[in-house]
Amino acid sequence: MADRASVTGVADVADQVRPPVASTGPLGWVRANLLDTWYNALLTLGVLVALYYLVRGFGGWVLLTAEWAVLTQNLQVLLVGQYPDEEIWRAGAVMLALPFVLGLGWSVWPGFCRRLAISLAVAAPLVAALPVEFASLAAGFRVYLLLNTVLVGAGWLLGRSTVFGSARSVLATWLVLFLGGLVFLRGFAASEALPFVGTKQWGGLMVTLLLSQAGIVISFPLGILFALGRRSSMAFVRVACVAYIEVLRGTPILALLFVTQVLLPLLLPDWMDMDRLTRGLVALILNNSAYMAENVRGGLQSVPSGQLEAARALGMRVHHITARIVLPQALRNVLPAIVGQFIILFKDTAVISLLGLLDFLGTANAILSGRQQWFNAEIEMFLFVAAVYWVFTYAMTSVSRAIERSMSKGVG
Amino acid sequence: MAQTGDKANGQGHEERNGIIVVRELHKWFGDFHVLRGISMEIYEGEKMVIFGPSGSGKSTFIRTLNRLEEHQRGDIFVDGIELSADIRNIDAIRSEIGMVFQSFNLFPHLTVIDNITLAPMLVRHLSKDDAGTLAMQYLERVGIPEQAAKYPGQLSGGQQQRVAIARALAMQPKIMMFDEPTSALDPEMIKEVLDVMVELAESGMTMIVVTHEMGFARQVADRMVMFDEGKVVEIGTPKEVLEHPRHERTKQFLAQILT
Ligand SMILES: Nc1ncnc2c1ncn2[C@@H]1O[C@H](COP(=O)(O)OP(=O)(O)OP(=O)(O)O)[C@@H](O)[C@H]1O
Ligand SMILES: [Mg+2]
Repeated sequence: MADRASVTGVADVADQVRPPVASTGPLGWVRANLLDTWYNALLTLGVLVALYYLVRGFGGWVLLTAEWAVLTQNLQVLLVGQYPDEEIWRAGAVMLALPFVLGLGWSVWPGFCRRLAISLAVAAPLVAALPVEFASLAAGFRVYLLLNTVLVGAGWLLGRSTVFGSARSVLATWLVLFLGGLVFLRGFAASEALPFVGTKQWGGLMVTLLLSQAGIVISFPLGILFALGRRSSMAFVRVACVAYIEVLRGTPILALLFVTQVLLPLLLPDWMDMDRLTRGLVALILNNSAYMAENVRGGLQSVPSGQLEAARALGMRVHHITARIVLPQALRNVLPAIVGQFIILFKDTAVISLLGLLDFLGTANAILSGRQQWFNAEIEMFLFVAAVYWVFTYAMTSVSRAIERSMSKGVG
Repeated sequence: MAQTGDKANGQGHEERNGIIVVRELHKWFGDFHVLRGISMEIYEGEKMVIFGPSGSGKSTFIRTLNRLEEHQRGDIFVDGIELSADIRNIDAIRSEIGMVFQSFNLFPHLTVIDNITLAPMLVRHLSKDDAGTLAMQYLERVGIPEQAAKYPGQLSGGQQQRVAIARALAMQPKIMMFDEPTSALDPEMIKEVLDVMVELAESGMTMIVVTHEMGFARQVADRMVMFDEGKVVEIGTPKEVLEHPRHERTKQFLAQILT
């Protein structure tokens, strides 16, 4: 270090020597990475030409040729399915939990939650400003979109206060809003204000989101329990958990779906009569909790035995060691796999369309085949569907990456 | 043992029973007979250094004392409590014995301060504030209060081992056990850890230390024990053991490590 310093003539401030600047500006970068050899230059050129035609062709199609009416005309059905028109405010209100919770988490997780909250708060007014007509949703939809931004702000304000500004209270708020939302959507048979709306009438993106959230909150803890059970010292528990995991991992999800449809009504007592959607959810949970258990098991194995010994030597009890020492490290070590499983669950919700229920993708299909008018609008529709799926999966991945980054400082 | 009894007596322990009493301790790993009849008494305030060749059962021995390993034959009493399969006795004994490991075993997902406060809060039911105050006291004692908010991965090996010592001390144990606390450290960090241990010894703590740092042993040990093949081959004051070893095996081993 001293040598370097004297060469550069700042021997007296040796500790100010900086590493050499890696880049020499954008031009230098292009020369170093894209044009360093003749074949690389050729490749770069080829890709540029291809990109140009792609963008020009696709851009022209998006702006001029495509018939986006298939989306704007059917937006309400795509979002909430056949939920009755006069009750649609209930669906709208329930879906507003998302921006509110994101806003609430803003200060708690300033990394990822803040970014998601801001993205939503900015995107909503931009969509509201699009020069299209939202058909049956009309102008009210623009107001609704703006409400998203308002709720992010409201959540943010509340989250800054100490009472709500902790991870625990954000998660609790979300859980309460989610469960309350389900009751609110369903309503009561005898109620004037909240008449009953059966899950047969639920549909669209709303169903996909509700199913994935319920699936995640139930199958994640179940997976943890089964993974822990697999390491239990009690032989019965261990065998039962291994059987559960192996049988369910070996059963295709489609088979599970039909099995739960037929078997659950036979197995459960009358008062526990489940609707179709719930039985579909059970199939998703059975399948996912088994996979989740295997992911968690990998994490459990990655925690060194010295961690348990240190905790035991301190006199900690088994349940404390599991909850405070082993699980946090285990889950952290397999976080990408766990989030990957969440994403699989999110996409797998589409299988419920086989039961005649209409999730987001199922709704899109139903619209396309429902009226002659839309027979040719497949590309527009599926592009939109894919984009929406992508936005949610991308959000989940970026949350996972952000958590990994924030936790990496704990690892040496 | 008989020949060393009078030495211990000479140090004024004659009326007391040991805070740790081990009688005819045997342990097997499967068919492998690791501990072959160990008897030993350690007195309150005593500093006992255990040394011996690799694989001789030193770690296994001290790990049976707080039930990290189960023994199959013999008796262990810690402060009058018999170590048996009874979970309450195990918990009681673990809260009297602090342990420091060769590889630190700090909890990597918790900050330094949380590493120290966790067990006092969960086991001793201290409030967060009380545990925090206590933790800061011990961090000052090991000389790194300024590292409280960092994660273990951000500290040097010597600092991590000092945090591990503070973490064990925060449970306010009567006995501290160290299993080769400096052998995973770079040479320049060994002294900072030994200094903390010397200071702890001077404060009167009962200590059992597995180590090959003979300078440390000479300075603080009341007695030294040489293990070989699961047995105690020699026990006595540092002067006796280091300068006039009785057994050929001890001489050989000391010759190896002192060169
Ligand atoms: N869990 C275990 N299962 C089987 N054998 C073991 C186990 N732990 C230790 N051993 C064996 O028991 C013997 C004693 O091990 P121990 O760790 O007590 O030795 P040590 O004296 O501490 O040696 P070192 O100086 O290398 O730490 C060794 O031969 C070791 O291989
Ligand atoms: Mg050892």
